[in-house]
Amino acid sequence: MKKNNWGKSLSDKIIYLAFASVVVVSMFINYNFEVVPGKKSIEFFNKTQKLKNGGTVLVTISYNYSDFAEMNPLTEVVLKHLFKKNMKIVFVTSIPESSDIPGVLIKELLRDSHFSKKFPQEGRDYINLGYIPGGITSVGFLGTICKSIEFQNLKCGFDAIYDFSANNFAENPYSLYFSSKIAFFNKKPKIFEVCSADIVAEIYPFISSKEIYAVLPGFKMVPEYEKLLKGKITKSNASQTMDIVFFAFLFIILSIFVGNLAEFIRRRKK
Amino acid sequence: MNFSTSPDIWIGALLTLSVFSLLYKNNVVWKIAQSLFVGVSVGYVFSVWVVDVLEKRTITPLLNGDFKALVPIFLGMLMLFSVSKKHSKKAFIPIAFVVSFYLVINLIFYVQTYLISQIQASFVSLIVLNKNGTLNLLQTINSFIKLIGIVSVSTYFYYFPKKNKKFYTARQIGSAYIMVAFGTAFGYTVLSTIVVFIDRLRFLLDEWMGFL
Repeated sequence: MKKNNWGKSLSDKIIYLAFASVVVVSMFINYNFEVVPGKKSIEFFNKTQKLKNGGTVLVTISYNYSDFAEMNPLTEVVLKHLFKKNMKIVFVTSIPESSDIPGVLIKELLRDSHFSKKFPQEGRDYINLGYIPGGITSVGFLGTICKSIEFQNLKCGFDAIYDFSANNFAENPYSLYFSSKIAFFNKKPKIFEVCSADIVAEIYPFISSKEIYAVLPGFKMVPEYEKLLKGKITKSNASQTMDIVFFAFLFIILSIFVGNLAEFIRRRKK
Repeated sequence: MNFSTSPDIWIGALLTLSVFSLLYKNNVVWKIAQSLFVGVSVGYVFSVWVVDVLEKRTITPLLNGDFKALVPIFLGMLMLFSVSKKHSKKAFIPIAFVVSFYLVINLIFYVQTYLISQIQASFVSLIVLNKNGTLNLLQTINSFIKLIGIVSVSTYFYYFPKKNKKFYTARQIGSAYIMVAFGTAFGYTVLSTIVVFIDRLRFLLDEWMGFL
Protein backbone atom coordinates (compact mmCIF):
# COMPACT_ATOMS: atom_id res chain seq x y z
CA MET A 1 0.00 0.00 0.00
CA LYS A 2 1.31 3.43 -0.92
CA LYS A 3 1.92 5.75 1.97
CA ASN A 4 -0.42 8.55 0.86
CA ASN A 5 -3.13 6.36 -0.61
CA TRP A 6 -4.71 4.83 2.50
CA GLY A 7 -8.08 6.56 2.06
CA LYS A 8 -8.60 5.12 -1.41
CA SER A 9 -7.93 1.56 -0.36
CA LEU A 10 -10.37 1.65 2.57
CA SER A 11 -12.75 -1.23 2.01
CA ASP A 12 -16.50 -0.62 1.61
CA LYS A 13 -17.06 -3.43 4.10
CA ILE A 14 -15.27 -1.51 6.85
CA ILE A 15 -17.45 1.53 6.16
CA TYR A 16 -20.64 -0.60 6.29
CA LEU A 17 -19.48 -2.21 9.52
CA ALA A 18 -18.60 1.12 11.12
CA PHE A 19 -21.97 2.59 10.14
CA ALA A 20 -23.89 -0.44 11.42
CA SER A 21 -21.91 -0.29 14.68
CA VAL A 22 -22.86 3.36 15.19
CA VAL A 23 -26.54 2.54 14.63
CA VAL A 24 -26.49 -0.52 16.92
CA VAL A 25 -24.64 1.27 19.74
CA SER A 26 -27.09 4.22 19.48
CA MET A 27 -29.97 1.76 19.90
CA PHE A 28 -28.72 0.60 23.27
CA ILE A 29 -28.16 4.03 24.74
CA ASN A 30 -31.22 5.83 26.03
CA TYR A 31 -31.22 9.41 24.82
CA ASN A 32 -33.82 11.92 25.69
CA PHE A 33 -33.67 14.58 23.00
CA GLU A 34 -36.49 17.05 23.24
CA VAL A 35 -39.05 16.90 20.44
CA VAL A 36 -40.04 20.34 19.18
CA PRO A 37 -42.87 20.33 16.62
CA GLY A 38 -41.88 22.23 13.47
CA LYS A 39 -43.89 24.60 11.30
CA LYS A 40 -45.01 21.90 8.86
CA SER A 41 -46.33 19.48 11.47
CA ILE A 42 -48.11 22.27 13.40
CA GLU A 43 -49.72 23.53 10.19
CA PHE A 44 -50.82 20.02 9.18
CA PHE A 45 -52.17 19.34 12.67
CA ASN A 46 -54.09 22.61 12.87
CA LYS A 47 -55.61 22.21 9.41
CA THR A 48 -56.75 18.68 10.26
CA GLN A 49 -58.10 19.95 13.56
CA LYS A 50 -60.16 22.55 11.71
CA LEU A 51 -62.04 19.89 9.71
CA LYS A 52 -65.52 19.37 11.09
CA ASN A 53 -65.83 16.44 13.49
CA GLY A 54 -67.63 13.37 12.16
CA GLY A 55 -66.99 14.24 8.50
CA THR A 56 -65.92 11.85 5.77
CA VAL A 57 -62.41 11.67 4.35
CA LEU A 58 -60.91 9.73 1.50
CA VAL A 59 -57.60 8.07 2.36
CA THR A 60 -55.51 6.96 -0.61
CA ILE A 61 -52.65 4.59 0.11
CA SER A 62 -50.00 5.01 -2.57
CA TYR A 63 -47.11 3.09 -1.09
CA ASN A 64 -46.28 -0.57 -0.76
CA TYR A 65 -44.55 -2.78 1.77
CA SER A 66 -41.03 -1.66 0.78
CA ASP A 67 -41.87 1.78 2.22
CA PHE A 68 -43.67 0.36 5.22
CA ALA A 69 -40.93 1.14 7.76
CA GLU A 70 -41.14 4.86 7.07
CA MET A 71 -44.73 5.30 5.92
CA ASN A 72 -46.54 3.10 8.43
CA PRO A 73 -45.78 5.26 11.53
CA LEU A 74 -46.68 8.39 9.56
CA THR A 75 -49.99 6.93 8.39
CA GLU A 76 -50.79 5.55 11.82
CA VAL A 77 -50.31 8.84 13.64
CA VAL A 78 -52.50 10.74 11.14
CA LEU A 79 -55.21 8.06 11.25
CA LYS A 80 -55.23 8.29 15.05
CA HIS A 81 -55.96 11.98 14.72
CA LEU A 82 -58.74 11.37 12.20
CA PHE A 83 -60.39 8.67 14.26
CA LYS A 84 -60.17 10.84 17.37
CA LYS A 85 -62.18 13.40 15.44
CA ASN A 86 -64.73 10.67 14.67
CA MET A 87 -64.06 10.95 10.95
CA LYS A 88 -65.50 8.31 8.65
CA ILE A 89 -62.69 7.00 6.48
CA VAL A 90 -62.90 5.52 3.00
CA PHE A 91 -59.67 3.71 2.10
CA VAL A 92 -58.55 3.08 -1.45
CA THR A 93 -55.16 1.92 -2.68
CA SER A 94 -53.58 2.81 -5.98
CA ILE A 95 -51.00 0.00 -5.97
CA PRO A 96 -52.10 -3.66 -6.15
CA GLU A 97 -49.59 -4.79 -3.49
CA SER A 98 -50.96 -2.36 -0.93
CA SER A 99 -54.60 -3.43 -1.01
CA ASP A 100 -54.43 -4.99 2.47
CA ILE A 101 -52.36 -2.22 4.08
CA PRO A 102 -55.49 -0.49 5.55
CA GLY A 103 -56.31 -3.73 7.39
CA VAL A 104 -52.77 -3.95 8.78
CA LEU A 105 -52.93 -0.31 9.87
CA ILE A 106 -56.21 -0.78 11.71
CA LYS A 107 -54.75 -3.80 13.55
CA GLU A 108 -51.82 -1.62 14.63
CA LEU A 109 -54.20 1.11 15.78
CA LEU A 110 -56.15 -1.35 17.91
CA ARG A 111 -52.96 -1.98 19.91
CA ASP A 112 -53.14 1.63 21.11
CA SER A 113 -54.86 1.86 24.48
CA HIS A 114 -57.01 4.77 23.29
CA PHE A 115 -58.78 2.55 20.78
CA SER A 116 -60.86 -0.24 22.25
CA LYS A 117 -61.89 -3.33 20.35
CA LYS A 118 -65.16 -1.60 19.46
CA PHE A 119 -63.38 1.25 17.75
CA PRO A 120 -62.57 1.72 14.90
CA GLN A 121 -65.07 -0.67 13.39
CA GLU A 122 -65.34 -1.63 9.72
CA GLY A 123 -68.55 -0.48 8.08
CA ARG A 124 -69.20 2.08 10.80
CA ASP A 125 -65.96 4.05 11.14
CA TYR A 126 -64.16 3.01 7.99
CA ILE A 127 -64.43 0.99 4.81
CA ASN A 128 -61.72 -0.35 2.55
CA LEU A 129 -62.49 -0.33 -1.16
CA GLY A 130 -59.13 -1.99 -1.84
CA TYR A 131 -57.15 -1.60 -4.99
CA ILE A 132 -58.71 0.47 -7.74
CA PRO A 133 -57.22 -0.35 -11.15
CA GLY A 134 -56.14 2.40 -13.47
CA GLY A 135 -54.01 4.14 -10.90
CA ILE A 136 -55.11 6.88 -8.61
CA THR A 137 -56.81 8.50 -11.59
CA SER A 138 -59.83 6.34 -11.03
CA VAL A 139 -60.28 7.73 -7.53
CA GLY A 140 -62.10 10.59 -9.21
CA PHE A 141 -64.81 8.29 -10.32
CA LEU A 142 -65.61 7.51 -6.71
CA GLY A 143 -68.19 10.23 -7.21
CA THR A 144 -70.23 7.61 -9.03
CA ILE A 145 -69.01 4.56 -7.14
CA CYS A 146 -69.90 5.88 -3.71
CA LYS A 147 -73.60 5.60 -4.44
CA SER A 148 -73.23 1.88 -3.90
CA ILE A 149 -71.18 2.09 -0.72
CA GLU A 150 -72.99 0.88 2.34
CA PHE A 151 -71.61 3.36 4.79
CA GLN A 152 -73.52 5.42 7.32
CA ASN A 153 -74.35 8.91 6.11
CA LEU A 154 -71.90 8.71 3.24
CA LYS A 155 -72.92 10.97 0.42
CA CYS A 156 -71.06 11.78 -2.76
CA GLY A 157 -68.36 14.05 -1.45
CA PHE A 158 -65.52 14.08 1.02
CA ASP A 159 -64.39 16.79 3.38
CA ALA A 160 -60.76 16.13 2.48
CA ILE A 161 -58.39 13.74 0.77
CA TYR A 162 -55.42 12.31 2.64
CA ASP A 163 -52.87 10.90 0.24
CA PHE A 164 -50.09 8.73 1.68
CA SER A 165 -47.37 8.43 -0.93
CA ALA A 166 -43.86 7.17 -1.37
CA ASN A 167 -41.66 7.00 -4.45
CA ASN A 168 -44.42 7.18 -7.02
CA PHE A 169 -45.57 10.70 -6.26
CA ALA A 170 -45.09 11.78 -9.87
CA GLU A 171 -48.37 10.20 -10.88
CA ASN A 172 -50.40 11.27 -7.89
CA PRO A 173 -50.94 14.96 -7.31
CA TYR A 174 -52.13 16.02 -10.70
CA SER A 175 -54.46 13.09 -11.06
CA LEU A 176 -55.76 13.54 -7.54
CA TYR A 177 -56.30 17.20 -8.17
CA PHE A 178 -58.15 16.69 -11.39
CA SER A 179 -60.05 13.58 -10.48
CA SER A 180 -61.13 14.90 -7.12
CA LYS A 181 -62.70 17.82 -8.94
CA ILE A 182 -65.00 15.30 -10.57
CA ALA A 183 -65.76 13.70 -7.23
CA PHE A 184 -66.46 17.05 -5.63
CA PHE A 185 -68.63 18.37 -8.42
CA ASN A 186 -66.05 20.94 -9.48
CA LYS A 187 -65.22 22.06 -5.98
CA LYS A 188 -61.52 22.32 -5.15
CA PRO A 189 -60.88 19.75 -2.42
CA LYS A 190 -58.45 19.92 0.46
CA ILE A 191 -55.61 17.54 -0.32
CA PHE A 192 -53.40 16.59 2.63
CA GLU A 193 -50.19 14.97 1.49
CA VAL A 194 -48.27 12.63 3.78
CA CYS A 195 -45.11 11.40 2.09
CA SER A 196 -41.77 9.72 2.57
CA ALA A 197 -38.69 11.94 2.87
CA ASP A 198 -37.24 11.00 -0.50
CA ILE A 199 -40.05 12.63 -2.49
CA VAL A 200 -40.37 15.83 -0.47
CA ALA A 201 -38.49 17.86 -3.09
CA GLU A 202 -41.09 16.88 -5.70
CA ILE A 203 -43.93 18.05 -3.50
CA TYR A 204 -42.91 21.59 -2.62
CA PRO A 205 -43.93 23.12 -5.99
CA PHE A 206 -47.47 21.86 -5.39
CA ILE A 207 -47.62 23.61 -2.03
CA SER A 208 -46.67 26.99 -3.45
CA SER A 209 -49.24 26.53 -6.24
CA LYS A 210 -51.76 25.69 -3.48
CA GLU A 211 -52.76 22.40 -5.12
CA ILE A 212 -51.81 20.65 -1.90
CA TYR A 213 -53.44 22.03 1.22
CA ALA A 214 -50.95 20.73 3.80
CA VAL A 215 -47.97 18.39 3.81
CA LEU A 216 -46.41 16.10 6.39
CA PRO A 217 -43.05 15.19 4.90
CA GLY A 218 -40.93 12.33 6.11
CA PHE A 219 -40.45 10.18 9.17
CA LYS A 220 -39.06 13.12 11.17
CA MET A 221 -42.63 14.37 11.52
CA VAL A 222 -43.88 11.31 13.42
CA PRO A 223 -42.58 12.21 16.93
CA GLU A 224 -43.55 15.85 16.33
CA TYR A 225 -47.09 14.89 15.40
CA GLU A 226 -47.28 12.45 18.33
CA LYS A 227 -46.38 15.31 20.64
CA LEU A 228 -49.06 17.54 19.12
CA LEU A 229 -51.62 14.76 19.38
CA LYS A 230 -50.87 13.68 22.94
CA GLY A 231 -49.69 17.01 24.34
CA LYS A 232 -46.56 15.32 25.63
CA ILE A 233 -44.09 12.94 24.08
CA THR A 234 -43.84 9.53 25.59
CA LYS A 235 -40.81 7.52 24.53
CA SER A 236 -41.93 5.89 21.32
CA ASN A 237 -40.26 3.92 18.54
CA ALA A 238 -40.47 6.99 16.30
CA SER A 239 -38.73 9.34 18.74
CA GLN A 240 -36.09 6.69 19.42
CA THR A 241 -35.52 6.20 15.69
CA MET A 242 -34.99 9.94 15.21
CA ASP A 243 -32.40 9.90 18.01
CA ILE A 244 -30.54 7.10 16.20
CA VAL A 245 -30.86 8.95 12.87
CA PHE A 246 -29.13 11.92 14.51
CA PHE A 247 -26.07 9.83 15.32
CA ALA A 248 -26.13 8.12 11.93
CA PHE A 249 -26.13 11.53 10.22
CA LEU A 250 -23.36 12.72 12.52
CA PHE A 251 -21.29 9.71 11.46
CA ILE A 252 -21.96 10.40 7.76
CA ILE A 253 -21.04 14.08 8.10
CA LEU A 254 -17.84 13.23 10.01
CA SER A 255 -16.93 10.63 7.37
CA ILE A 256 -17.41 13.18 4.57
CA PHE A 257 -15.31 15.69 6.49
CA VAL A 258 -12.49 13.21 7.22
CA GLY A 259 -12.58 11.92 3.62
CA ASN A 260 -12.31 15.41 2.18
CA LEU A 261 -9.55 16.33 4.61
CA ALA A 262 -7.56 13.22 3.64
CA GLU A 263 -8.01 14.00 -0.04
CA PHE A 264 -6.93 17.59 0.54
CA ILE A 265 -3.77 16.48 2.38
CA ARG A 266 -3.01 13.90 -0.32
CA ARG A 267 -3.22 16.51 -3.06
CA ARG A 268 -1.03 18.94 -1.15
CA LYS A 269 1.64 16.30 -0.67
CA LYS A 270 1.63 15.67 -4.42
CA MET B 1 -30.70 -13.34 24.71
CA ASN B 2 -34.33 -14.35 24.44
CA PHE B 3 -34.93 -15.62 20.91
CA SER B 4 -38.45 -15.46 19.52
CA THR B 5 -40.37 -18.71 19.18
CA SER B 6 -42.56 -17.45 16.34
CA PRO B 7 -41.75 -19.08 12.97
CA ASP B 8 -42.79 -15.85 11.13
CA ILE B 9 -40.17 -13.86 13.01
CA TRP B 10 -37.52 -16.52 12.32
CA ILE B 11 -38.27 -16.54 8.58
CA GLY B 12 -38.18 -12.72 8.53
CA ALA B 13 -34.92 -12.62 10.47
CA LEU B 14 -33.16 -15.22 8.32
CA LEU B 15 -34.27 -13.49 5.12
CA THR B 16 -33.11 -10.13 6.48
CA LEU B 17 -29.69 -11.61 7.28
CA SER B 18 -29.60 -13.20 3.81
CA VAL B 19 -30.13 -9.79 2.21
CA PHE B 20 -27.52 -8.16 4.46
CA SER B 21 -25.04 -10.88 3.44
CA LEU B 22 -24.71 -9.15 0.05
CA LEU B 23 -22.75 -6.43 1.82
CA TYR B 24 -20.03 -9.02 2.38
CA LYS B 25 -20.16 -10.55 -1.08
CA ASN B 26 -22.52 -11.99 -3.69
CA ASN B 27 -23.47 -15.44 -2.40
CA VAL B 28 -25.98 -18.29 -2.71
CA VAL B 29 -28.04 -17.28 0.34
CA TRP B 30 -28.55 -13.79 -1.08
CA LYS B 31 -29.57 -15.25 -4.46
CA ILE B 32 -32.14 -17.51 -2.79
CA ALA B 33 -33.60 -14.54 -0.88
CA GLN B 34 -33.69 -12.47 -4.05
CA SER B 35 -35.49 -15.17 -6.07
CA LEU B 36 -37.90 -15.79 -3.22
CA PHE B 37 -38.72 -12.10 -3.01
CA VAL B 38 -39.42 -11.81 -6.74
CA GLY B 39 -41.50 -15.01 -6.75
CA VAL B 40 -43.59 -14.10 -3.73
CA SER B 41 -44.15 -10.52 -5.03
CA VAL B 42 -45.34 -11.70 -8.43
CA GLY B 43 -47.59 -14.36 -6.87
CA TYR B 44 -49.10 -11.86 -4.46
CA VAL B 45 -49.73 -9.19 -7.11
CA PHE B 46 -51.27 -11.83 -9.37
CA SER B 47 -53.70 -12.91 -6.65
CA VAL B 48 -54.63 -9.26 -5.95
CA TRP B 49 -55.34 -8.71 -9.64
CA VAL B 50 -57.47 -11.83 -9.81
CA VAL B 51 -59.53 -10.93 -6.71
CA ASP B 52 -59.72 -7.12 -6.94
CA VAL B 53 -59.95 -6.71 -10.69
CA LEU B 54 -61.10 -9.88 -12.36
CA GLU B 55 -63.50 -11.12 -9.70
CA LYS B 56 -64.80 -7.92 -8.09
CA ARG B 57 -65.01 -5.69 -11.14
CA THR B 58 -65.80 -8.04 -14.00
CA ILE B 59 -67.09 -11.49 -13.04
CA THR B 60 -69.30 -10.45 -10.09
CA PRO B 61 -71.01 -7.58 -12.00
CA LEU B 62 -71.51 -9.91 -14.96
CA LEU B 63 -73.19 -12.53 -12.76
CA ASN B 64 -75.40 -9.75 -11.36
CA GLY B 65 -76.60 -8.94 -14.87
CA ASP B 66 -74.34 -5.93 -15.54
CA PHE B 67 -73.30 -6.64 -19.11
CA LYS B 68 -71.06 -3.55 -19.32
CA ALA B 69 -68.37 -5.80 -17.85
CA LEU B 70 -68.28 -7.64 -21.18
CA VAL B 71 -66.41 -4.72 -22.77
CA PRO B 72 -63.23 -5.00 -20.64
CA ILE B 73 -63.42 -8.81 -20.83
CA PHE B 74 -63.60 -8.63 -24.63
CA LEU B 75 -60.72 -6.13 -24.84
CA GLY B 76 -58.70 -8.23 -22.42
CA MET B 77 -59.26 -11.33 -24.53
CA LEU B 78 -58.08 -9.47 -27.61
CA MET B 79 -54.77 -8.85 -25.81
CA LEU B 80 -54.15 -12.59 -25.81
CA PHE B 81 -54.02 -12.59 -29.62
CA SER B 82 -50.52 -11.15 -29.38
CA VAL B 83 -49.17 -14.72 -28.96
CA SER B 84 -50.59 -15.75 -32.33
CA LYS B 85 -48.55 -14.86 -35.42
CA LYS B 86 -51.60 -14.84 -37.67
CA HIS B 87 -53.92 -12.71 -35.51
CA SER B 88 -51.39 -10.65 -33.53
CA LYS B 89 -52.62 -7.39 -35.07
CA LYS B 90 -55.93 -7.77 -33.22
CA ALA B 91 -54.04 -7.18 -29.96
CA PHE B 92 -53.31 -3.63 -31.14
CA ILE B 93 -56.97 -2.64 -30.62
CA PRO B 94 -56.96 -2.79 -26.77
CA ILE B 95 -53.37 -1.48 -26.67
CA ALA B 96 -54.39 1.51 -28.81
CA PHE B 97 -57.37 2.06 -26.52
CA VAL B 98 -55.26 2.03 -23.36
CA VAL B 99 -52.50 4.22 -24.82
CA SER B 100 -54.86 6.82 -26.26
CA PHE B 101 -56.99 6.90 -23.10
CA TYR B 102 -54.01 7.51 -20.83
CA LEU B 103 -52.45 9.95 -23.26
CA VAL B 104 -55.55 12.14 -23.40
CA ILE B 105 -56.26 11.98 -19.66
CA ASN B 106 -52.64 12.63 -18.69
CA LEU B 107 -52.32 15.47 -21.16
CA ILE B 108 -55.13 17.31 -19.37
CA PHE B 109 -53.61 16.52 -15.95
CA TYR B 110 -50.16 17.70 -16.96
CA VAL B 111 -51.35 20.93 -18.53
CA GLN B 112 -53.59 21.64 -15.55
CA THR B 113 -51.14 20.95 -12.76
CA TYR B 114 -47.60 21.04 -14.06
CA LEU B 115 -48.08 23.91 -16.49
CA ILE B 116 -50.96 26.25 -15.65
CA SER B 117 -50.86 25.96 -11.84
CA GLN B 118 -47.07 26.15 -11.69
CA ILE B 119 -46.95 29.20 -13.96
CA GLN B 120 -49.66 30.83 -11.85
CA ALA B 121 -47.64 30.11 -8.70
CA SER B 122 -44.56 31.72 -10.29
CA PHE B 123 -46.30 35.08 -10.70
CA VAL B 124 -45.69 36.45 -7.24
CA SER B 125 -45.24 40.00 -6.06
CA LEU B 126 -41.53 40.78 -5.63
CA ILE B 127 -42.08 43.23 -2.80
CA VAL B 128 -44.15 41.55 -0.08
CA LEU B 129 -45.85 43.75 2.48
CA ASN B 130 -47.28 42.84 5.86
CA LYS B 131 -50.93 43.53 6.69
CA ASN B 132 -49.96 46.80 8.38
CA GLY B 133 -48.14 47.99 5.25
CA THR B 134 -44.55 47.37 6.44
CA LEU B 135 -42.04 45.44 4.37
CA ASN B 136 -41.93 41.68 4.94
CA LEU B 137 -38.19 41.30 4.39
CA LEU B 138 -37.96 37.51 4.51
CA GLN B 139 -40.80 36.96 2.04
CA THR B 140 -39.38 39.64 -0.25
CA ILE B 141 -35.95 37.97 -0.26
CA ASN B 142 -37.70 34.65 -0.89
CA SER B 143 -39.51 36.11 -3.92
CA PHE B 144 -36.21 37.35 -5.38
CA ILE B 145 -34.54 33.96 -4.80
CA LYS B 146 -37.49 32.34 -6.56
CA LEU B 147 -37.30 34.73 -9.52
CA ILE B 148 -33.54 34.32 -9.94
CA GLY B 149 -33.99 30.53 -9.73
CA ILE B 150 -36.73 30.38 -12.37
CA VAL B 151 -34.82 32.60 -14.82
CA SER B 152 -31.39 31.01 -14.31
CA VAL B 153 -32.57 27.38 -14.42
CA SER B 154 -34.67 28.08 -17.53
CA THR B 155 -31.61 29.71 -19.12
CA TYR B 156 -29.47 26.73 -18.14
CA PHE B 157 -31.72 24.30 -19.97
CA TYR B 158 -32.43 26.58 -22.93
CA TYR B 159 -28.72 27.16 -23.65
CA PHE B 160 -27.68 23.72 -22.45
CA PRO B 161 -24.73 22.77 -24.75
CA LYS B 162 -21.46 23.56 -23.03
CA LYS B 163 -20.02 25.09 -26.20
CA ASN B 164 -22.71 27.73 -26.14
CA LYS B 165 -21.20 30.75 -24.42
CA LYS B 166 -24.38 32.79 -24.15
CA PHE B 167 -25.50 33.83 -20.67
CA TYR B 168 -22.62 31.97 -19.02
CA THR B 169 -23.12 33.48 -15.54
CA ALA B 170 -26.89 32.88 -15.57
CA ARG B 171 -26.28 29.25 -16.53
CA GLN B 172 -23.75 28.86 -13.74
CA ILE B 173 -26.29 30.20 -11.22
CA GLY B 174 -28.92 27.85 -12.69
CA SER B 175 -26.49 24.97 -12.32
CA ALA B 176 -25.98 25.87 -8.65
CA TYR B 177 -29.75 25.87 -8.08
CA ILE B 178 -30.03 22.42 -9.67
CA MET B 179 -27.17 21.12 -7.51
CA VAL B 180 -28.89 22.40 -4.36
CA ALA B 181 -32.14 20.68 -5.44
CA PHE B 182 -30.32 17.39 -6.11
CA GLY B 183 -28.42 17.66 -2.83
CA THR B 184 -31.63 18.20 -0.85
CA ALA B 185 -33.32 15.27 -2.59
CA PHE B 186 -30.29 13.07 -1.87
CA GLY B 187 -30.23 14.09 1.80
CA TYR B 188 -33.87 13.14 2.18
CA THR B 189 -33.27 9.83 0.38
CA VAL B 190 -30.50 9.01 2.85
CA LEU B 191 -32.90 9.74 5.72
CA SER B 192 -35.50 7.36 4.24
CA THR B 193 -32.92 4.62 3.76
CA ILE B 194 -31.53 4.98 7.28
CA VAL B 195 -35.04 4.72 8.75
CA VAL B 196 -35.58 1.45 6.87
CA PHE B 197 -32.18 0.17 8.02
CA ILE B 198 -32.91 1.05 11.66
CA ASP B 199 -36.28 -0.68 11.38
CA ARG B 200 -34.59 -3.89 10.17
CA LEU B 201 -31.94 -3.77 12.89
CA ARG B 202 -34.61 -3.15 15.52
CA PHE B 203 -36.52 -6.15 14.17
CA LEU B 204 -33.43 -8.34 14.48
CA LEU B 205 -32.34 -7.09 17.90
CA ASP B 206 -35.74 -6.66 19.50
CA GLU B 207 -38.34 -8.96 17.94
CA TRP B 208 -35.98 -11.79 16.99
CA MET B 209 -33.24 -11.75 19.64
CA GLY B 210 -35.17 -9.97 22.41
CA PHE B 211 -32.23 -7.71 23.19
CA LEU B 212 -33.82 -4.30 23.50
